[in-house]
Amino acid sequence: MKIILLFLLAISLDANIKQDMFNLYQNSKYEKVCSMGFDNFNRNSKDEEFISLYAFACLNSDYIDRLAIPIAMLKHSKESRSNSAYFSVILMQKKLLYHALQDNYDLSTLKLPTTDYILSKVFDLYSKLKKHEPRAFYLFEDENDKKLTYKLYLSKDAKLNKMVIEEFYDTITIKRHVYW
Amino acid sequence: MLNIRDLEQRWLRYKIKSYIPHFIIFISIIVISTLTLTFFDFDKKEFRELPKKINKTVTETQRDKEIALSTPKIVPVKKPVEVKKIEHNKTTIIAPKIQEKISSAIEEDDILKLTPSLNFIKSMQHSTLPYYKEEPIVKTKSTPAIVEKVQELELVKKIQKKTITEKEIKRINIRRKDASNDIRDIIRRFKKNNNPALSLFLAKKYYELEEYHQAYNYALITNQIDRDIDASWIIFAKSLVKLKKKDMAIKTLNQYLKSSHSSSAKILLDEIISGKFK
Repeated sequence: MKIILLFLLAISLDANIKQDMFNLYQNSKYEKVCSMGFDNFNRNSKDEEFISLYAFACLNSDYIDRLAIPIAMLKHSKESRSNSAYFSVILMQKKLLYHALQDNYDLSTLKLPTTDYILSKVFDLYSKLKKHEPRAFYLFEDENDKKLTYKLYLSKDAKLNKMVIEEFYDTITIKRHVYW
Repeated sequence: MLNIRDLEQRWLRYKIKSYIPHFIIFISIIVISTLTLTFFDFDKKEFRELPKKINKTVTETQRDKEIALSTPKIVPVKKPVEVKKIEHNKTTIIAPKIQEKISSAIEEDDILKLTPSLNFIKSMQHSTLPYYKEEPIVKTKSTPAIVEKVQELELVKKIQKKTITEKEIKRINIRRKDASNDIRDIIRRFKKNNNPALSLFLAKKYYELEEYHQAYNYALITNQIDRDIDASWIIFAKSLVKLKKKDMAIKTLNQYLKSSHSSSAKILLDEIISGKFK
């Protein structure tokens, strides 16, 4: 009897977590949703809605490496497969761009699909550059909006260098994305 | 004498107690069965399609195996190279122009753009309760009047509070914006340092989002901080026109032109007067 009650309680708790995550997501608290999803992932690993929510929250809070597991898990519906492809492109572009910045790897020969995500935009702009000497920073102008510019650079650290993308609108910093 | 009442009560309690476990088990079975049905309904659909897929893959793999078995173990190295060459030649002989066209078309075409699919959020919205929104709770104009009434009448406070909450619940408008997070961040920064560049950015952003009231407000704030910013006067006038206050827009632009002689403001004024800008 106690087991059944505990089971029912666990089910209701799981439903609550998903609901809470959804509410937080709607209120743009992506980082919190990402960490909640990370903590409760094993319990909801078969729920594709949960995985998608977790993945988009992590994407919006720049935790790109956490997309690796959702990429592998999202496969049962058409929507989840397309999202999986979308995430995998972003993850690959992040890894390639970081490799290029760190080790001067040439990206100009690559032709990859793109997305509307900031990292993809910067990746496309960077890959248009031909093989060059590494620079301290790169400034790119948005193709659609001339006032929008992106600054790409490596912030050097004793342990691990981090890749930084800063968004500017009319010289005003809008957002700062840090990836490693 | 036996106390029949007491006995009856005890019997009733005993009976209820004996039924409780059955009742709980029955409910739990119903709950579990509904959950399993909903959980595995999706899987079943896929499962029906699976045998076909499996058959296909099995036949394909069998074919592959057969091909692998039929091919000799020691394959001469030259043969596949020759075959490849022939295929390549064939294609070049048959349609070299077409191939060139295709390759150039591929080069000309934009790179494939992947877009996220957020339909799952819609389905979640339908299945879950409406979410709360912290900042953009927009109340109608009549709400302050109700608040004043509450302050005046102390005795009827409780009843009025109830009515207010009911009305508030009815009048809550929840708006969803994609760029709202960025805007909120910039508003926060603007409140801290009162930088006119930030308020100008907000005015422009709100104008782009077609929220002309907000664009007007932030352009006005920018003008109050710094009167010499050309762009803020233009946004101010433009949002006035959009708010159907064309005369006021013309007046303000005329006044601004007296002090600045800005060419872009002049162009805008001419466009507003001629009716080109609506």
